[in-house]
Amino acid sequence: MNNKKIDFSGRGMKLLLALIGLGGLLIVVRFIFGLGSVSNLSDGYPWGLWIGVDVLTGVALAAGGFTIAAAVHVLGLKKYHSVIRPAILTALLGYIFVALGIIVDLGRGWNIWHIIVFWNRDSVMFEVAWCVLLYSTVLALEFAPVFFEEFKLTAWEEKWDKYAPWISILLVSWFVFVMSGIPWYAGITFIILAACWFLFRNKLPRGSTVILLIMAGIIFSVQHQSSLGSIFLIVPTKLSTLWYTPYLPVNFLISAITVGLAMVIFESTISSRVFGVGLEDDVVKGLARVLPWAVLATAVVRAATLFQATGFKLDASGGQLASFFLEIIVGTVIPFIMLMFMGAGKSAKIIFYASAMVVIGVVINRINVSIVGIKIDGYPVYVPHIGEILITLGIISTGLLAFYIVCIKLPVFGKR
Amino acid sequence: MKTSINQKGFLIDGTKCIGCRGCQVACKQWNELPAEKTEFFGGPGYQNPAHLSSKTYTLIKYREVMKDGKLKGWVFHKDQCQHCLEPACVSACIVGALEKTASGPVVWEDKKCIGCRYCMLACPFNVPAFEWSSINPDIRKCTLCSDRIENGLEPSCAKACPTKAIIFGDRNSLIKIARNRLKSESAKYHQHIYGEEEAGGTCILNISSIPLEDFGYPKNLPKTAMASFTQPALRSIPGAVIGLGAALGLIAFIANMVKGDEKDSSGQGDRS
Repeated sequence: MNNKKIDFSGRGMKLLLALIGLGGLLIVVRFIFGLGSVSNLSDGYPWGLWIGVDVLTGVALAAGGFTIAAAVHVLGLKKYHSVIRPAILTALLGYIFVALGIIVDLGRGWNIWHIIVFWNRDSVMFEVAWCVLLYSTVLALEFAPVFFEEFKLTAWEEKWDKYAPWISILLVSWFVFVMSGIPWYAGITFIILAACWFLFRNKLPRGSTVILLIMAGIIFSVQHQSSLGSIFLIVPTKLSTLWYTPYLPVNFLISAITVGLAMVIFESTISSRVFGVGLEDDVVKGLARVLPWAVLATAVVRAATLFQATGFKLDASGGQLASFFLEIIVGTVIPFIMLMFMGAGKSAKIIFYASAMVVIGVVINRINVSIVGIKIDGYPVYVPHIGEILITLGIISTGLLAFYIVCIKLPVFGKR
Repeated sequence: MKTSINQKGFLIDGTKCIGCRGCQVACKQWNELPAEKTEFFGGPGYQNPAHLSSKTYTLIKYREVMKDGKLKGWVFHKDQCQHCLEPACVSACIVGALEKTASGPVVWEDKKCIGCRYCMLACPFNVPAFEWSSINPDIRKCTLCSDRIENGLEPSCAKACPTKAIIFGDRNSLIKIARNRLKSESAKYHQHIYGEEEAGGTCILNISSIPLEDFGYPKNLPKTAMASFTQPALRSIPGAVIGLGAALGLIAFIANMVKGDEKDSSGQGDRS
C-alpha cells in the first residue's frame, strides 16, 4: 500500500474513538468501585455479557486463523494462501477482545499469573487459561513474519526460521505435561512432533518451517475452542437442555470452525470496502462454496446432540425457546438457503450478508449458552447493565481500531 | 475422599427449626461479618436477606405450606454451603484456591484467587458469593467453622441452635440418625435425606417436612459428583493432542509432498 496514513477525521473513526473513550472511562470506574458498580452481575448470575460476548465470541470469531492455516499448510490448498494473513490477523483481533474482556471481568486480574504457579488439573478453566496463553504465543509467532517483511529484519527472520519449529514443539509438549502431569506423555508428544519436523525439513521443499508452527496453532485452537464448551459441562442442572449436552465441546469446536470461515469473508469484504484492500473474488467465492457445508455440518451435529440429550422434547422457558429459534434461523437456516440457492456463486453481496448472519448466529449461540440458557431460581433474571454494554462496545471498537491500523501499516492483504 | 468415616457434617432437621435465626447471628458473630442492607421481598421465601451473600454465610429460608388454598403453616430451613464430598467448586477453581479438607469442610485460600467466579457458576447450590463492590474482591462462603472444628469446638451455628435442629457430628452416624427419624416419625417427614447422594453426597444432610426442592434447592441433581461431568473432557486432552499432532503431521507431509512437487517452483520461502 502506498497510502499509510491513518485517517482519524472520518465520522466512523470519531464514533470508534468516542466508544473507546467511554468504555475506558467505565473500566476506570469498575476498577475503583468494584464490579457491582458497572454491572448487573450477581451471586446468582456471576457471568454475563463480558464472558458471553467478549470472551466466548471473541475466541469463536478468531477461529478463522487456524481453519485457514490448516487448509493452506496442512491440506496444501495453496489457492487460499492470500487468506492466511487476514485470517491470522482476525485471530489476533479475537484474542484482543478476549484479553481485554478477561482483564475487565476478572475480580483480581492482577493475579492472572497465578495460573502459571498454582495448578489445578481438575479445572476446565485451567485448560482454557493455558490455551489462551500458549495460542497467543503461537499467534504472535505466526504473525511475526509480517513485521519482519515490513521492517526488513532479515536477521530476525533467520532466527525465526531456525527456532520457530522447536518453540512450537516445546510449547505443545509442555501443554501436554501441564494438562496431564505425566512426563512421558509430554515425551511422546515431543518425539512425534520432532519426527514430523525432521520429515518436513528433509523431504519437503524449502519453506516448510511454518508447518510445525501452524500445527501447534491448530492443536491449541482445537483444545481452546472445545474447552470453552467444556466449561459449561459442570452445570447440567443450570443450563437448559436446549444447549446442554455432554457434547458441548464438540458443538463449540464445529461452530467455531464454521464461524471462522464466515468471519474471514466478512472481514475481507469490509476491509476491501473501507481500505480498498481485500481478497480476490475467486478466493472469497471458494470460501463461500465451503461455508454452507460447514453450516450444515454444525447444524447436523447440533441436532444429533440435541436429540441425544432431549429426544427433541424441548423443555425451556418461552424466552429461551425464542432465543434458540432465533439462533437456528439466523445462524443456520437463512444463511444456508442464501449460500446454496440464491446465486452466491455470483453475488458478493449475498456472500457477505450470509457470512454476517453466520457470525451473528454464533454470537447468539454463545450468548445463549452463557447467559440466556442459564436460569437460577430465586435470583432476578440477569439483564446486562448499560455499563457492561458500553464497556463491551469499547472493547470491540478497540479491536476494530487495531485491525484498521494493522491493515494500513503492515502488509496484510495481497503483498505477495 | 469418597465417604471417609471421619468427615464431619450437619444433620439439619427443618421440623425442629423454629425460625429464630440464632444460627444466622452466631455465624455473623464468629466470622465477624457485617450487617447487610436488605429489602423485603414479597415472593415465596419472605426471609430477609433473600440470599446467601459475601456477608451472609447462612440463612433461614421460610416457606408457606398451603392446603386447599389456605395457609396451613410455615416451614423453615437453613441454607448454607453443603460441603460436598467431591465439591464442584474445588474441581472448578482455576488456581486450586478452594480445598476440600480431610475432616469435611470446604475452605479457600483467598490469596490465590484470581476472581474468575467459575466456582460460583459450578456450584449446583449457588453458594460461593462474591464481593461485588470491593476493589480487591474475595469469594466468600461458609467454612463449616473449620477453625472451630480444628480446636475441638462445634460450628457456631450448631452451638447456637436452641432446638437441636442442627446437629454436628460424623457424617455416617448423622445418616443413621436421619434414617431413624424418617422411619420412626414417617408422617412428619418428607421421606428423603437431601445430601446423602445429591451431587455425589454432601457433608450437610437435610431432612424436612417438605421436599428441599420447594425451598429452591436444585431439582434432579445427579448422584455423581459434578466434576464427573467435566473429567472425561479433561482426561482426553493428552490423547487428543498426541493423536491430532500425529494426524496433522501425516496429512501435512502427504499433502505437501504431492502438491509441493508440482507447485513450489517459486523457490521462495513460505513463511506465513
